[in-house]
Amino acid sequence: MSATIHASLTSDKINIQGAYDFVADDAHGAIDVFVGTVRNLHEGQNVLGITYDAHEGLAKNVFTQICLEAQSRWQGTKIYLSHYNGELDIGGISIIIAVSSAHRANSFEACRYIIEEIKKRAPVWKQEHYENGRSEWLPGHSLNEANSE
Amino acid sequence: MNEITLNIKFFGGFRKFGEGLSFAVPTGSTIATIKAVLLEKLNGETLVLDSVLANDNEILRDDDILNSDASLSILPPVCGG
Amino acid sequence: MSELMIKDDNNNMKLSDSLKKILSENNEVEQCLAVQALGGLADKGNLAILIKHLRNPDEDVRCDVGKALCLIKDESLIAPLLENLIQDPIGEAKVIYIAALEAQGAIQCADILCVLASGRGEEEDIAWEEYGTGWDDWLDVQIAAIKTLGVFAEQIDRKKAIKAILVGLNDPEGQDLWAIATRALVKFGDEGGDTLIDLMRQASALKRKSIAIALGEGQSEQSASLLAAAMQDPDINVRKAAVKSGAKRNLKEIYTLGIEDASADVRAMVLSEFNDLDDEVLEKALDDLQEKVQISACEAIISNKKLRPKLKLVKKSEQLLRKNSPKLLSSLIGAMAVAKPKGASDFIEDIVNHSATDFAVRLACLRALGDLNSSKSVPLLSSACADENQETRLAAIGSLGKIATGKGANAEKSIEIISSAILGDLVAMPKDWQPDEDNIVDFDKHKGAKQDGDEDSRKIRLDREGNIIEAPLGPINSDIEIEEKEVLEPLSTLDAIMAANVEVPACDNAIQIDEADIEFLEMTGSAPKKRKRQSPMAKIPAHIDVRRLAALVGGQTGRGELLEALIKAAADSDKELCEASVEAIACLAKVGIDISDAQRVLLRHATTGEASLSFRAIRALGYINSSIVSKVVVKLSNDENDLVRSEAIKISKNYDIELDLASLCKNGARKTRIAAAELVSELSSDKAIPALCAFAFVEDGVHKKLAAKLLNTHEAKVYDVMIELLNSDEPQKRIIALEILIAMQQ
Repeated sequence: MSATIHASLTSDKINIQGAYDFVADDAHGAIDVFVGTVRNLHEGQNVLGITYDAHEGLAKNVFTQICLEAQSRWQGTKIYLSHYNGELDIGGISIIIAVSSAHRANSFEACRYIIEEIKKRAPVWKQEHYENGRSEWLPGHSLNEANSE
Repeated sequence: MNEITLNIKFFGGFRKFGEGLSFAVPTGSTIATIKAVLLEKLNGETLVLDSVLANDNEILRDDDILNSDASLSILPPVCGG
Repeated sequence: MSELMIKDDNNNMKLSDSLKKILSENNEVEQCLAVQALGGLADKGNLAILIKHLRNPDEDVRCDVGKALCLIKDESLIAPLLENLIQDPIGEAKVIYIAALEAQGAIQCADILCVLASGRGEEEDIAWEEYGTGWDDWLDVQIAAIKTLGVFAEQIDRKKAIKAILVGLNDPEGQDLWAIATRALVKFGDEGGDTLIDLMRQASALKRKSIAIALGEGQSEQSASLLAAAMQDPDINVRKAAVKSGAKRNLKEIYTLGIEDASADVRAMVLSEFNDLDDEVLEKALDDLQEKVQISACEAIISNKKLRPKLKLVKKSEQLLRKNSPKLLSSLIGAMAVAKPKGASDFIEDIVNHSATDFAVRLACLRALGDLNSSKSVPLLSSACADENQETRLAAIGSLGKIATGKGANAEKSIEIISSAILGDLVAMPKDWQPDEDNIVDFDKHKGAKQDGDEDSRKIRLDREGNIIEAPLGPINSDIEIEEKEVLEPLSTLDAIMAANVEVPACDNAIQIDEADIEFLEMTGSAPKKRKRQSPMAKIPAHIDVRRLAALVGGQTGRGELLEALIKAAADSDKELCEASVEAIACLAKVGIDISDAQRVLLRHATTGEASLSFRAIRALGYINSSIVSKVVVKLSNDENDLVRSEAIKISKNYDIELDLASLCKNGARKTRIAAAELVSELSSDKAIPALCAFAFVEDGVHKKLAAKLLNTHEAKVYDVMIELLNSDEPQKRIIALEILIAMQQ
């Protein structure tokens, strides 16, 4: 039986087609794809690019764990998740999540769940680079709270 | 007094201090104590207070105890996606 | 109100104008407050409007005017107050007018007071409110009238006043006025004294007791003689009241009569009521036949705190060794610790560990050794620290702590022992002992929030050796609710050990049982069994409670040599030990000991501990001047826990950091608001006043009293703000401003 979950951290350019192909299934009538990209403005400042940093080992564990949770809640889904690690220009793809299911509701919900959990739990950080030459690590969710739940 | 050596790898906002830091602590120190040491070594960088320490497999709890040398990572608040 | 304020006439006038405006235009609630504030200004310029409002249709306003006029002394007030006393039908108001007339020294109202002391004065057209079956206000007025007659006693027609008081006193349909009437009569000099003598002859024991109490406020020789006569009264309660009154006036004759009294209770009371008794007197009391009196003598020695080397306490104690009087012997030992007679140390050293020594006596010895600080004190106390009885251990540690605050070899040795105790070296931990889970410091408890999380099978608990304590596997889901009996915990160790617990029968309608019932039940063999309630502390093993107490005691010694041991103890997994150690470190810092070495362990507790540890650690950190601490303080001033936040705010003033105190004064949590307000009040007026006014308005003015106190430190400038608020169109602002103003005047 082929894998129904792919979860990875990559320094290669993210491939949308690859994600689609992985989750595509004759028995599934819906595929939901979320693509996160780098945008050029943040809180009024012009952004030139973002550097992603990640704890490789833990990130992969957390990605897998989240996908398993999603699959447990929305049975019968297939999930593809890949997060970029490294430097990206404006428009670059930082993350892709593709979910397929028999009907559309599960795809939408599972996909949403995965991205929200990643934002709270995945050991990934981003540093924005601005037009004025400055760079800043963005604030985020403390793993202290996630750890004590 | 018996001591253990810790190698702490930096991520995210801690990278302004470099790749990492090594220091010794008494054997049997808790993670909470190690964080307090790190707070001092990084001159009161309060990001430590919102961060967790982890080994290669899991995030460590503040009352976990270390009895031997270890390589850990300090993970500040996350913002993936 | 600050003196500077009163001297600023311009401010006073503006304030008065605003208050008068409110008094003239607004509802009764605001009128009452405005009147109170005008009274507080004590400005004669406001008399006209206050007098005008003595005729206000609202009785509450009239009452407040009366109270305000107590604060302003002016002859022009006497006539209107007297008029109101007669014409105002409200009893409560009359009582206040009498108080105001008393404040004015208005002896011309004595005639009316005589009328009111003896009756309702309907012949004098004194108005009264119609009353139905409720309380008759006249009693309160009668009492007030009699009291004020007593105040004016020196200046008025005494015979007339005494006659009026006696009419009231002897009214067969009247209430019991003996307490107030006798206190007034005592002030009427010889005439009053003669009256009291007559009354004494015919009164019941209870009334004679009232007279004896009242005589305590007399000053004349006649009243002193009357007290001496009361000492011969057949009723013991009268004599006891006379003793108290005699002691209040320090009358030696009463002492002499009392110490020879037939009743041991009276003799004992003499010793407890009179101060500074000499050795001869105490020696005699120690030879009294009754133990109660001897114990009272010991207590007098202890409370007097004087050295009395000649007192034969040791000889007395030696005589007692053959008798079974542990209570008396314990008292004598306590007295020896204070009086320090010759031979006291040797005696106590001999009996403290004797097998025949009663437990209570042993405890008294251990406590005394702390005061006597003899050559054998320290080794004796040191061995007692490891005793199997908790009270013994605690007494020994406490005494070592006392010795440690002194100087010399004993003090140094005590410090060493306390240090060992803190480190856990004094009493070894038994093999295979496991800690109570509730006392393990849980760093992962989300500060301030309750957790349901004990069912979490992933939760790992470690003991102090780092071994995993087995956790339940998987969540606990039970539909069965187990009703837990509420266990009432005693408030202190002593309370728990000494208290006897009568078992209450388990029934819905509890029956009240008093002593007389117990006697009866015992006769019938149905008395409930008494059971001593055991304190939870009594179950704590020696190797733990010795450490905890040693840590607390160590802090009180003020000795920096203990810092290292306290730092190590603060890193222990036992929560109470950590708390005690952190408190102790803060105590050392308070007396000037440098605690920088404790920074690491304090930071750990401040940032990752439970709130109860965290706030203590923050308090201690406030004594360490470092940039690391200042950064942590900024961070913790935003902590989710109110207690932690408030402590961080309090210590922030020790560092060069600026918190947004104005916002914190309006924070949703009370402790945070209060800490911020107290800090902001130390800033300049232009920053402090707006923040404190905002603070005053939070939660419908719950903090107005504190706000008033803090605003008082900002002198004249605060009144511009107050005047603006008083002139506001919003009633709520006016009311709170009035309340703050009144609070500032108090």
